[in-house]
Amino acid sequence: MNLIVQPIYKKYIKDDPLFLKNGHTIQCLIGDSGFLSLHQKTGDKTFMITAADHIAISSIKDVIPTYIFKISDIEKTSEPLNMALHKELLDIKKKYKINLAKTDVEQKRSELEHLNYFLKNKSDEKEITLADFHAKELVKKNKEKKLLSFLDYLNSEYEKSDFILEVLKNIWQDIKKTGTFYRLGFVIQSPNDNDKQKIDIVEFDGKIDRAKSISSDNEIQVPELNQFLANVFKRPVGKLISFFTEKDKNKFIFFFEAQAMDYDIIEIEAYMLDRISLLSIVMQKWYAESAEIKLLNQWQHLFKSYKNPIHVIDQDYKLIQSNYAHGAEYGVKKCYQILALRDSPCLNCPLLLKTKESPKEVKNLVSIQGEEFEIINSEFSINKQNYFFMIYENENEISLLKSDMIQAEKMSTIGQLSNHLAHELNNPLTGLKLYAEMLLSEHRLVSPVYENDMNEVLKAISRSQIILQDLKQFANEDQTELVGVDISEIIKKTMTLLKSVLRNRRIFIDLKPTEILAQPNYLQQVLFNLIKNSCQAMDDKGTLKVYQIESDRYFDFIIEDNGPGLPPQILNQMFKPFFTTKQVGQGTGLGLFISQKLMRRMNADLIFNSKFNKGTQFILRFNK
Amino acid sequence: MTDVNDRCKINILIVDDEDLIRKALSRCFSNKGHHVVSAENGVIALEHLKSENIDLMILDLLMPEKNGFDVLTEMKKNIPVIVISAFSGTATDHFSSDEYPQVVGFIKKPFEHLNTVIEHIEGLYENYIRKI
Repeated sequence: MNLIVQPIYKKYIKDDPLFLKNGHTIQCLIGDSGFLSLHQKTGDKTFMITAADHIAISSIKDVIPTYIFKISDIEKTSEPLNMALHKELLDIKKKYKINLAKTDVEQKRSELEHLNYFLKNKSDEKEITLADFHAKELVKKNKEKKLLSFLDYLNSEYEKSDFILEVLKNIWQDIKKTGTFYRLGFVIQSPNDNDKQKIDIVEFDGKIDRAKSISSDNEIQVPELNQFLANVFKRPVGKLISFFTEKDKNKFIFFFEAQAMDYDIIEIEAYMLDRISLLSIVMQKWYAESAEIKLLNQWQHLFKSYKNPIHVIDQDYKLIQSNYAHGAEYGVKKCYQILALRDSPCLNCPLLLKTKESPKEVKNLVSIQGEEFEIINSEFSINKQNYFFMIYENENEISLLKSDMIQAEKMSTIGQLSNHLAHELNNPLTGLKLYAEMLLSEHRLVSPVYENDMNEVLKAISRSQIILQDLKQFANEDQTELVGVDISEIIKKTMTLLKSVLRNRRIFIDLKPTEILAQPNYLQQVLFNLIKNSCQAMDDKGTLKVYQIESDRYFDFIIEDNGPGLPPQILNQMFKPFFTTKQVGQGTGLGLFISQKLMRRMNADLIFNSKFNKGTQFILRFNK
Repeated sequence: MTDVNDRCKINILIVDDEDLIRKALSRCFSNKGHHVVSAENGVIALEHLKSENIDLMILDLLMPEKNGFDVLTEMKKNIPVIVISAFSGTATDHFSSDEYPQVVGFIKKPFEHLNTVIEHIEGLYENYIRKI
């Protein structure tokens, strides 16, 4: 307790229990105005509260005194002063206690508030972390979801023929959100059989896709990709962002061609890093498979296009593969059921003969729907299962082919022989002619009968010489001197030679006087051969037409009959020497061969028009 | 065919392996009054050239034993030769006047008419006589 009393008034203050020091600081002042104002701690505010003959009791912090006494009264009795002091002390003490409690409560509240604030902060913090975590999870999930859907997409589109383009379109949709790109694409390179690199390049610009497949001596490195693309597509190439993977010897490069800096590289990198290896595997697989499929298609096409039956069957005659059955029939139906329309294997089927262990060498001839086929077969096994590959050859066609070959061989021998014969016969014929002429001149006057006979001999000799000349003509390599001739004149001369073969057949000749460069004798012989062939092919009521068509470059002279025409299978052979459709003894097989040769010597051509189907049509084509 | 006068009568050697040609030509020239010797190959021809006095030789090229080219190469006398051959067309390519200066003409086989051939030969010989 701190009671500060003005010393001259201490004599009036009695002891009070409240003066006891109990650790509390209660400051109370007793004194006159001067004293109070000296000790009061109320800051700047000091009040003069009493007149000089008064004293007051006041709290040290209060400017207004609690009690005021007249000094003259206290001198009479100090009781009221002491009582007031006591009361004041009680008050102060009470106030102090209240203050103390108040402070305590304030402190507690402040602590609580602090705690409260701390707790709130903590929970906020926790909330933010949680949200962050959720967001991250979501991004991750989204990413996974996107990747999964990308994988699904790859799977679903894989079978499509434009798979590559579809994938590029998909990536294009994603990537164009992250910047401005000119195009995207990829390069796949894998080593070839012959130490070269097979390089497939595909690019897509949002609208058009381009693909190239090339073979190169060198591997393409990422830094030179720019130059490489420019060379391949023959165009300028912008800034490239490329990603690549290398697995075994196969290299896969994915590239984006972008406008300078106008893209989000981090996003692209994240996007591509997720996909690059997947893309690389899938695309390389697709390329390998598509090459395989192409090869398989080619083979199947070849297989199917063979005109005679081919099949692979198992030991029970069940069809595995064929060029005549449908997919549903494989593994179910048997070859003889579909191919031969039988209930049991064909007689002489090599498979049947094999199981019977027939020791005889039998030609595998089977009859299928009325035609004879020879079977060429070979056996092979896969997984211990035996299969038979069988090719059916039409026996009729084979024998035709054989006879054609024999005919050609025969004709070639006859050709050589006749050439030799022509040379050898010429000499004696010349002698014979000279001798006959000599005899005729020596004995002309002896008898007219003799003269006639000799003339007959001479005629026969001349005919023989003409035949020999014909035979020799195709071996004759004389230089041909071409002169301007009028074909219409030549045909007139030729027709007179052909009187015997023309007979009653109707002939239409519509030729304008046209000058062409030719050798007249050759031209005559060609016309002679063609017209004779036509007449021989037609019956007596047939019609022969000779006319011309003029184009910018050619004079075409057409010789056309309405006979039976030529069978298509001889088209390749008709211009070969000694090939003839006429019966033995009717033709030498040299007519068309010589005609074509003569035409070529005149820098012209003899063309058979296979599209003409109302008979036979030959075109003599002269350059203008 | 007219007979030649004595002044024009000459000795002709006909060389051809083809009997009928040789005989026909021989007889024609004999009929015209010329003296004719014939040979069926080059060997006999060269013998005749040695032993006889020949004015003109008609020579086939393709013959057995010795052919026409051999005869032309081996003959020593400088007498005119008319070559008959089926070589035709390009025959002139086989001869250069440097190599075979004695060849004065060619006749192509097969012949047309006998008369034409005889006249041709006579014409070629006359040309030759005129030149020397």
